[in-house]
Amino acid sequence: MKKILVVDDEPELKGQLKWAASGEDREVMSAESAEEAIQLIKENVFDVVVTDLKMKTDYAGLDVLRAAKEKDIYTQVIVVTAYGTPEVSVQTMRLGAFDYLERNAPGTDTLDMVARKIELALQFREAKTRGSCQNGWN
Amino acid sequence: MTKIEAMLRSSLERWKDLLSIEEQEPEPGFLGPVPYLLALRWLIFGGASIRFYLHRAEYSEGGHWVLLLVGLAGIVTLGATYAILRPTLRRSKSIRKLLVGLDIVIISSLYLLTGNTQSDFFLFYYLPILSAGDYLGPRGIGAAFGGVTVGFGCALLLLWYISPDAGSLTDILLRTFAPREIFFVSVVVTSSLLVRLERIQREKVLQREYELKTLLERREEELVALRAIDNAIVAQAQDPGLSSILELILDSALEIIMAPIGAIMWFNRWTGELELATERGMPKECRLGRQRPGEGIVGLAAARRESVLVHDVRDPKWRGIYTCVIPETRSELTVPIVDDTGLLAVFNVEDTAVSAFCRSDQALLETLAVQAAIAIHSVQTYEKLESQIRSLHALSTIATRIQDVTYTMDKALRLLLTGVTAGAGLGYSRAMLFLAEDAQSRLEGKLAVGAQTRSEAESTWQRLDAQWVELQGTEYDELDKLLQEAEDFSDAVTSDALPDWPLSKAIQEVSMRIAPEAGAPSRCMVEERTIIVSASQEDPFRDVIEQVSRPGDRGLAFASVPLIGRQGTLGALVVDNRFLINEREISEDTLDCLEAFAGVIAMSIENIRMQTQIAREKKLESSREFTARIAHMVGGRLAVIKGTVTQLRHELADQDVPGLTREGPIGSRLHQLTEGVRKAEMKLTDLRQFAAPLELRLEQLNIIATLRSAVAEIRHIVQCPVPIQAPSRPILVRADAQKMSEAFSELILNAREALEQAAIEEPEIRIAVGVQESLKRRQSFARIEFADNGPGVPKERKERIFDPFYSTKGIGSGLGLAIVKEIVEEHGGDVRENGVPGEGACFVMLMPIVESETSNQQGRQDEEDTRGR
Repeated sequence: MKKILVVDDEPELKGQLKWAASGEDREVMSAESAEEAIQLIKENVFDVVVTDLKMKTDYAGLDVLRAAKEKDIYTQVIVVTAYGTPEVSVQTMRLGAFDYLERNAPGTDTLDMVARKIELALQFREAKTRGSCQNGWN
Repeated sequence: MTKIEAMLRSSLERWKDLLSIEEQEPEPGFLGPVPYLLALRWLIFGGASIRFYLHRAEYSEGGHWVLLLVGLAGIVTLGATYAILRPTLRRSKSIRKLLVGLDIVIISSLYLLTGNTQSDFFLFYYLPILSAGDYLGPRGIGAAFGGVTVGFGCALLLLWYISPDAGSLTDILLRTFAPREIFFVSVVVTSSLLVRLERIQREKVLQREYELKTLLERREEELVALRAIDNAIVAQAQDPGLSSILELILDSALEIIMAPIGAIMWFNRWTGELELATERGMPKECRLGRQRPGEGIVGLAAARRESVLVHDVRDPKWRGIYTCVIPETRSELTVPIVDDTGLLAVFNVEDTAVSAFCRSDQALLETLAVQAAIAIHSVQTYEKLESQIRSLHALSTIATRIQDVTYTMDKALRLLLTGVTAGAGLGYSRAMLFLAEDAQSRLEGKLAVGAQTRSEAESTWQRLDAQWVELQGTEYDELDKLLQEAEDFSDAVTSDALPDWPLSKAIQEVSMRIAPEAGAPSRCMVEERTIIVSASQEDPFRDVIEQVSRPGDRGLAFASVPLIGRQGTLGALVVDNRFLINEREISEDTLDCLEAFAGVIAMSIENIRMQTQIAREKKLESSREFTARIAHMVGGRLAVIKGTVTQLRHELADQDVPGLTREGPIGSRLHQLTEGVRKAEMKLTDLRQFAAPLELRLEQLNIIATLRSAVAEIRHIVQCPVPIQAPSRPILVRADAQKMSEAFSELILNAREALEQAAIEEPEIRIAVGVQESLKRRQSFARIEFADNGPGVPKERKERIFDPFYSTKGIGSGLGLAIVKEIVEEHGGDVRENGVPGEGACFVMLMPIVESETSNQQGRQDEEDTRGR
């Protein structure tokens, strides 16, 4: 069972992210704020986190990212944002995000892309954790 | 007390001292030693009579009555001696007569009694003659002496002739004229001569006294007159009337020196002519006379700055100099009135008699000339002060009013120019304002206050005069009323309810290059000082004046003041005095106030520009914030819609609904939705770009290259010729390549859209690149012009098109040009539209050029070359 967390302060967007994340053998949790998300991260281990960047604060998503990475370094975090600047994207990637998506890029089917990225992120995590297990314990 | 009065007072004191020495009156009647000689004689005879009495026995004749007589004679003699020795007694004429009579009686009787006739004869007769001096006078005494001597001589000759035994003539003469007698006579004659001389001296003194008295009286008169003039000057200080003071001076002068004709002629420094200021006794035809220095006696005094005293104008030495104004004139006296700045006026008096004036008259006029100079000075100083105060008061009133933040540039400038031209302000006739545009390469007319034609001027001034009369007695200040009118007029002109003044409209068409040879306004800006162009000087700016002001206005003086702000020279203010009655000169003394006004004008322009800039930036800022928020919100909604479409597609696919392909019924609708969202998102990108603060990544680049590549990129969108005319040498700027490219693209696309909207048949966008030197060579600019052949931009929109969200196109965001402006201004440049409305738009972008190392070296090399030459 893969655990996925979606975070967005807008209920409709949160709902869509949930839809994009859901599937067989997937448990999707949702949060509406960074604090809520961080709480959930404390209580759970997630495979993938999809979070909005700007919520209560301009960079609330980065807090979620840090918290998730702290909890489990192999958790893959996808940051979705309404409008990004190169600086922010660089910072996001440096903090260890799996990807950084712009919501309103003209001509892109964002939701579809989110779904695909989640799939890729899950696979990546698989690979990473298996690798570490192999390296770590054996 | 004036200096002159003090001087005269001390002279008076000195003369009075002189006179007090001579206060003793000379004695009337007896001359000098005569009383003492008479006293001596009587004493001698008194002694003789006493001796006679003592020897009375020898003289038998007469008996007692002789003795009585002798005694009486003795007493009387003593009494007479006493009387003659007392000054108070001998002053009386009756006592003198008595004494003289007594003398004759006594001597005669003694002689008769003693029979002694000869030797004391002279004493006998001559002394009384001398003592009778005040009756006889010097000639009388001489005649009497001569007569008696001649008579006595004849008597002697007769005696000698008829008496044979009298002896030779010599004996008789010797006997008669004994040494004793000769001694006495010579003493008496000498002393009487000395006395006579003394008398003559005394008479001279009396004469001098008389002259001094007359002089004193005249000086008193002069003093009184001077004091009256001084008082008049002080009293008139509140309401200076120079002509009344000059009249007073003239009247006083004519009265004291008693001349019938006089005049004071004022020297007009502007025209170089002498004009009649005030006159007395001149015939009417002469009253409008003007003379130049050098013409006539008056002219001579004026030219030489020296007094000229003419005793007879018909004298040949004045021929060729004297010009006849009044035919009856014979004497003339002219005194120049000068001060340390030069000739002020000329004082002239004439008389029909020859030699009517003397040196002391000249001295008086010269003194009065000093008074006149003082009066003129004080009046002029007062007037100057008053006008300065008035001007500065006007300036302060206006400056307070324009602090109001609701004032537009037009209103503030109009008020200031009203102050420059109002009578209650600086009082110039016209004021024209020019502002530097185009990176200080051109001066463009902005606003003018004043009349274009004489009839306009006169009707305006008539109206103002009538208004002033109306305002008398009310609380309204003339200046306030004028300013109020100016404010209302500004509102009316701005809202197009009224047309601007013809002169102002004409000025707004003027555009001059800023170069020293372009005339005074350019020069004053370059040299940063006020330039006065006098009526006789030529100046290229006069061509402009002729252009805007219909009659041939070439011959008047004007002044050009630079408007110097904190960041450089903003423009120039030109003033003149056209149509004023005297078309008065623009003198240097009035410049201070004019420059103060210019300073305030410059400050206001800068302030208002800054305020506008700040307001625009604020608006931009708030637009940004607003846009950012809207973008975020809309972005969110769009994302939801986009996502929903995705979900819908998946849903339908899961349910195997047919027609989901793009061509199918449902699929095409879904596609439309997606397309709609895409377009909206594109607009959103624009908005987001605008909302993000502008951060430039600067690098040195060749702006021509950037331009060419930007044009190349969008050539396929534009689909019309975009010729670029640029120099082959690179032009280097420090700029953000990406942003510059965006700016260029936006300008070209914007032009393209306008051409399309106006359905121009052969659209063309011409780009021209050049270098523009700024006025002071502090900064050169790259000048890039984007000109199209579309409808152009109407005048009132030229500035507004750069405002954010201003759009004449239905679908546009209105942000394009605002972004361009922001990008360019962030680089330190400027962008504006200055095409001719109706003939096409022309966007001009100016970017500051940087000197790269190579071009710097080149520049230095060029400089050295020219210096070496």
